[in-house]
Amino acid sequence: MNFEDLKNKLIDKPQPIYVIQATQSYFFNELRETIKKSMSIEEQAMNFAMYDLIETPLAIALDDATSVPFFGDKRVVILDNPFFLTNDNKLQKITHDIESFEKYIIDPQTTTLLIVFVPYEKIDKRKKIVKLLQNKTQFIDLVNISGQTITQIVRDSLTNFKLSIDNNALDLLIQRTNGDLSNMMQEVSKLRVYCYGKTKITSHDVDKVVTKSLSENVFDLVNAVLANKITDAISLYRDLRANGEEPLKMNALLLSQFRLILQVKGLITKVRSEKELATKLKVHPYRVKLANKIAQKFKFKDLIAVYLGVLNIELQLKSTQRNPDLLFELFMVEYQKK
Amino acid sequence: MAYQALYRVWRPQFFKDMVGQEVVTQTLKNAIITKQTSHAYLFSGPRGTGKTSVAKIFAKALNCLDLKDGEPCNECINCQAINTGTLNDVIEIDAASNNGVEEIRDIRDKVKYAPTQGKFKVYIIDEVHMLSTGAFNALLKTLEEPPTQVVFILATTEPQKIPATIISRTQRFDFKRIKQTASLARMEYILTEKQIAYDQQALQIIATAAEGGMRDALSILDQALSFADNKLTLDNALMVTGAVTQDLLSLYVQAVLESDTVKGLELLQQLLDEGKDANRFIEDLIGYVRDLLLANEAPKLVNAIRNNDFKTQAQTISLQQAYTIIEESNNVQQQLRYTTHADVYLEVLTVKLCNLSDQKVDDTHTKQELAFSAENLPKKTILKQLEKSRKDASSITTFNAKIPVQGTDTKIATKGEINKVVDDEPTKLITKVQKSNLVKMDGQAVFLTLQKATKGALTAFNDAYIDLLNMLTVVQSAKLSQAKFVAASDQSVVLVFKQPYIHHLAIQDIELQTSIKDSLEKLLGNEYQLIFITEDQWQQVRKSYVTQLKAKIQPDEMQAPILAQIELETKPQALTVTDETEIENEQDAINSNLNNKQEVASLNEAKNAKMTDIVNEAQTMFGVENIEIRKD
Repeated sequence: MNFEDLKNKLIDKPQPIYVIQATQSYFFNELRETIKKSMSIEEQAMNFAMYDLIETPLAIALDDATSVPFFGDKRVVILDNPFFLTNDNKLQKITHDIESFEKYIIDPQTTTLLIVFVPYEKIDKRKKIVKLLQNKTQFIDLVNISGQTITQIVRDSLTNFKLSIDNNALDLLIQRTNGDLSNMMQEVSKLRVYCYGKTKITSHDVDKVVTKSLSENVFDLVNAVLANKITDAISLYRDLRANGEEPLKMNALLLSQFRLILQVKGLITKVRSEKELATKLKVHPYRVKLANKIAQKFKFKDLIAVYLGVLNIELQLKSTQRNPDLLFELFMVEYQKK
Repeated sequence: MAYQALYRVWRPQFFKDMVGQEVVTQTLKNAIITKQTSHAYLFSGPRGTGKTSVAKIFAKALNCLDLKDGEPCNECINCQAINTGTLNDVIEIDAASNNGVEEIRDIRDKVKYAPTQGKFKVYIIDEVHMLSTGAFNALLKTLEEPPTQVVFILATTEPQKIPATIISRTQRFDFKRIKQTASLARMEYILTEKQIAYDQQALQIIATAAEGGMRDALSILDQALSFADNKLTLDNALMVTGAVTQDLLSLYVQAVLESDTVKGLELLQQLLDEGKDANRFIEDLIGYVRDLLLANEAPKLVNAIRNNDFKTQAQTISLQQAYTIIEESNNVQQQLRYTTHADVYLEVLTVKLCNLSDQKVDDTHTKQELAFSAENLPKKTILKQLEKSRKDASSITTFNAKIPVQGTDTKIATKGEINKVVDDEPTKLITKVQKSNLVKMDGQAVFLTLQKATKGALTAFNDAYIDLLNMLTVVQSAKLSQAKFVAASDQSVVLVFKQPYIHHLAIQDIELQTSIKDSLEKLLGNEYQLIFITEDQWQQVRKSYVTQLKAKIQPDEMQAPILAQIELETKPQALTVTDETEIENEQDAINSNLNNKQEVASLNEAKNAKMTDIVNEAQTMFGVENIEIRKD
């Protein structure tokens, strides 16, 4: 089901119970906000309720759900974090009355719209309650939404403001936000405002406006180091340090990145595809793809030299009191000479 | 009115005044214009990049009654009230000192009330990363669903300390470090407004020193201006930015590079006298050397002022030198933690650094010396020498094979050849073994003594002989017991050894020579040049001297014969230091060498009786049984 359709359905003619499974919190926030907006402020106060099942017993929520709406024609109850659908028992602080929930599923209150937010990737499908929910309710799975759906959502949200985004810009946006939809939408709202008066968002705009994550920065750093751009590398390092990044953390990221590149360099010929290598190395395919791109450009010898150099920084960081910036700069100068 | 710091007076009041943050200001301005403001913002960036300034301008823009193109007017009541800090709806909180849950709860409770005078309630929370975990969680709920008409602006220098849950609920803006050109332009603007004359170069130096922080830049500028009214001079800028220290530091490094310990120590003292902290000195030193390293690779990143001294040093310093200086300084830096006598460590460091290059030079020197000294002759060289002498010998063999054809004239020549061959290599070795010049053993020296010899001197020596023996150790006197003085002048004395072997030992024994020399000086009150020769040599020299004297040859034209110094045995002796097997080879080589000579000798023997000398000498050296005399 299309997300936009879902939103409209929830407002217009909803079924009594919806279960929405998604890992992107954006969907939950968006649904919640859409529903709230469809209600007046008075209605919101009287007939809207959200329960966090980690803290609140199910009984209280069901109590609310079974009661008739005050001064209105419908009541909305949202259940968040239904951990009892999963195998994970760590979250279990309180015991829930699952039986009465089952009863409610079979015979729901028609004036109430009950929505269950399931922010988990996997739920235990052997459980009776899960089977019941899957059979008797509107069970919507948004976990495995494709990249295409995500880009569509982004584009849709921009069309409302008469803006378009080109593919490069979109790619960059996805890369910067790590494909996290909530994050992406935050950045989109910023982009939207920045590009006020324009009709198209370019990758140049994205580059300027969208915040770089640390791993993104480290990725740039890796490229600068390998390309032997000493000025770029050191100034980027200094920028990151000025932002208060921990040297050890940065170094660890650098090291893991170089290790991955080395692994890809050595193994890519022994597998059929990047994807297969990704599964074997247990890393995200996108990272393997990027690592492979870099690995192809450089010689084994150089990669090893850099890896060992960074490793040495780590050793020094942990065993001496030397200034991390200095260590990195010395490493760069030394590497440059090679 | 009290003096206000430049950065306070010139705190930007409009978005357009903001330096180097075009993206941020543009977005915020657009947000105001389109009324698409978010309810929570996170401003992150290094210090002095304008986070608080933007937050204030934004608060004004939100509340301004007379907006012009997204800019606050700074004239309406609300703007004025915010400027003076009296508007109740704009609340500035320093999270560094209000970091508890209580303070945040207080905000949460008050957030509910609508703004009183302005349009928006704006909470500016500075240094938000200082909040405690509890406080963050308390803030989270408020940020998640804030009442309308409330805007939160969180400012921080360390965004990675903010929980992800907070970040995801805010619109995040990253403030970049301000580029030099931008801060330069801003300073120029301020100075022009204030009508202060300035030196362009001085501004440049300040901009570099500020490292991308506008507040830092203005603070430094303020300081520099306080030295001279209405004028910004290069000197003042240099003084404030610590360039004076750099000059001293530069001289110090120069001294280190030139291995001038005295100067280095003086400069160190000077720096310390100026009240420089030891730790700070080390840090600066490392920083300076780091800059020298970077100067060639990445000139843009150099913090130091790049004057001529700096540039020359950057070119002369070697990578290794720089690394060593950094390494050593770093070690001392660690040691400084455990001591109360920092000065001592710094002085030791200075001496060490100054001697770094010395050591290197020393090393190469000694290496060269060693390479030349016989004791440490590498195998190859020795073998080569041996090879050479063997070749020489064999060439003689071939040469001698022709002798019968060539007739008698060749005899002497051959003799000379042989002598040469015999003493060439070994004597060279001997002279190298002996570093002292205590003893001479050549014919020329004997001649000189003979020319000036007096009977009296010789008698004096002979008289002193017994005393001399008594003054020496038993071993030493034993060596001398078979020796006798044969000629003496007032400068030198000739000592003849009966056995060549003892003679050989004596010329090796520097201790003995010193003792003799010292003893003689004590006994006779004069320093004498010692000349050690063997009995055979003495005969040879004396004969030659007498012949020449009879021939009435002037003393200074006399030709001393080349002494047949059969010192072959010294070679093995000198070599014992190096290698055992070497000696064997050596011995073999010598033997074969000798066999060759032997043959040569035998060849000539039939024609020249003198040649038997060599056989005799060889026999004395290697023992009769080792030498096979062949007559062919």
